[in-house]
Amino acid sequence: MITLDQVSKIYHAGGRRIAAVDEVSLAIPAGRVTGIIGQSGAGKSTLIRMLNGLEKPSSGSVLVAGRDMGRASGAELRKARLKIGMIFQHFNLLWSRTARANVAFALEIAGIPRAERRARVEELLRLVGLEGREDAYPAQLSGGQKQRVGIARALANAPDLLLCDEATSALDPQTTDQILDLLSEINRRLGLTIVLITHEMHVVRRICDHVAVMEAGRVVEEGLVSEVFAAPKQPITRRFIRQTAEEGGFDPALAPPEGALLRLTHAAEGGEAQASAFSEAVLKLGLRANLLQARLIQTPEGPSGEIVAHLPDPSQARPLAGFLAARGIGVDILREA
Amino acid sequence: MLAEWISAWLPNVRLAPLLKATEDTLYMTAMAGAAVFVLGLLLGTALHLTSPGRLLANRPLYWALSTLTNVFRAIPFIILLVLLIPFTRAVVGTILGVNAALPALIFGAAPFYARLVELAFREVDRGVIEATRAMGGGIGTVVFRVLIPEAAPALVSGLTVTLIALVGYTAMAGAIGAGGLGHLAYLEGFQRSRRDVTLAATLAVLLIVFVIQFLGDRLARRLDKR
Repeated sequence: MITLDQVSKIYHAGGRRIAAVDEVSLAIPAGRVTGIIGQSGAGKSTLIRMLNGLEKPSSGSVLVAGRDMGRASGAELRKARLKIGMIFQHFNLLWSRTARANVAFALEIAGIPRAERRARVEELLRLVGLEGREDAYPAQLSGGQKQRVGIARALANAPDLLLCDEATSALDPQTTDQILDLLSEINRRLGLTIVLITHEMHVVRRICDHVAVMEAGRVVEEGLVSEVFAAPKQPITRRFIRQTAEEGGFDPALAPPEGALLRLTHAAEGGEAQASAFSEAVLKLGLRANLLQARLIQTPEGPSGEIVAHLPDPSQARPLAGFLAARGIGVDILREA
Repeated sequence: MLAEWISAWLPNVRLAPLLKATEDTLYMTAMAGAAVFVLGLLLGTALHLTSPGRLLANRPLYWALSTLTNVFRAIPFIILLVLLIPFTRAVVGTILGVNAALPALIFGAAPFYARLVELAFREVDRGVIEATRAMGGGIGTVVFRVLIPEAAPALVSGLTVTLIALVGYTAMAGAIGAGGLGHLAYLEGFQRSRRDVTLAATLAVLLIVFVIQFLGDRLARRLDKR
C-alpha cells in the first residue's frame, strides 16, 4: 500500500542542517492499522504529512497506492488526496459550518452533486454515531464529538487510506478509547488502511497491528506490535513500554533478575479453559512457576487475558511454551535466561 | 413636529438642504464603501496569500503590495484629495460634486480595509487550511470556502470601522466641494457663522455613524458561530 524508500526531509535553519526525517524506509501494509510512535520532535508529524503530499521529501520516494506523492502536484495531487482522509489533533473543523456542512465540505471539494451529498452526509454521521447532532456548530460539540465529525469528513470520499495525526491527544482517556474503538471498527468494516502517529503507547497497544518507532528522524524499530513489544531492541522502545507499565502493564525491569520470563495471552472467549491450561501445564511438566501479573487488556481483536510468568529454571521455558501453544495460547518468551 | 422643533431650536436650519446633504453623504459612503469592500478584499487576499509561510508566499510581491498599501494609508486624507485632483479630473471629468469625491475616498479607504482583511485572514486557524488542502482543496477553495466564511465576522467588523472612517472622509471631501454634510457644516455653518447648521450636520453624521455601528455589530454577531 505504502512504500517509503530512503525518505529524508532536511531543513536549514540559521545555517544549521536539521533532518526532520532521516533516510526512512518503511513498508506499510494495506488494510491494517499501523502506528508510528515517537516523542515530539521525532519527525513523525513530518513523515505522516508526506503520505498526502502536505510535505515534500528532500530526497527519496513516497509511494502511496503506486503514486509518487513526492512528485505529484496540481490537479493530480488534489485528486490523489480525495482518496486519503486525514484527521487531526485539534480536529480542524470549520467553525462557521454545522457538523453536517463540515462533512459536506469534503464532498463539495470532490464535486459531488448536492442531492447526492445530502444522503452521503447522513450515512457518514450515522456511521460515526452523531445522529441528532447534525445541525450543531463545532463550538457546541464536545472534543470527542468534534473528532467524530472529523472522522466522518475524512471518510466522506471513501478513501483507501486514513491518516491520523495525534487524533486522540487532545481528548480525555475515556473519550480516547471511544475514538480508538471507532477507528478500529472502521478499519474492520471498511477495510481501509490506517496510519496513525502518536506519542502514547496506549494508542498503539489498543488498535495497531504494526508499529514503527521513531527517534530523531529515524525509524529505529518496526514490525508487528506483538513482536516488537515482546522483544524490544531499542532503549526508546523500552521507554515506551515502560510508559504502559505505568498504566498497569508489565515492566520487565521489576522481574527477578534470574530465570525465564514468559508472557501468555489468550482470547477472552474460552479464556477460562485456556487459563486452566496453565495450571495443567505446571502440574504435568512438574514446573516451578511464579505468576508476576495477570490482567485483562483491550486489543484490536477484543479483550484478552495476559499473564506474565517467571520460571526460576530457564530450561523449562521451551517445553512450557510448546505445551501452551498447542492449546491456542499465545506465548512470548520475554527472557530466556 | 420635526419641522416645528427645528424652527424653534435651530432657526437657520432648513430641512430640504439638510436631507439633501445627508443623502449625498450616504451616497458617497455607500458607493465608495462598495468599491472599497471589493478592492480591499482583493488586495487583502493578495497580501495574505503572498505573505511569508502562506500558500503563495512570495517575498518581492508581498513587499511591493505591502509598501503600496502603507504609502496610501500614510498620506493624510486631505492631502490625498488634493494630490488626486488631476486623476479625478481625468476619470470623472470634474472635481466638484459627489462623484468627484469617490476616487479619493476609494484610494484612501481601500488600503485601510485591505490591512484589516489581511489581519482577519491571519486569524483563521492554519489547521483548517491544512485540512482543506489535505481534502484536495485548491487555492480557490481555501479563499472562497474557508478564509472568507471563517473570517466573516472580522470582515464585517472591519467593514464597519472602514465605513465609519469613510463618513469622516466624506466630510473632509465636502469641505473642498464634494457636497454632503461636511460641505453643509463648513460652508453654510462655519463660514456663515450659523452654529445651529453645524450642529444639525453633526447630529446627522452621528446618527449615520451610530446606525452603521449598530448594524455592523449585529451582523458580525450573527455570523459568529464560535
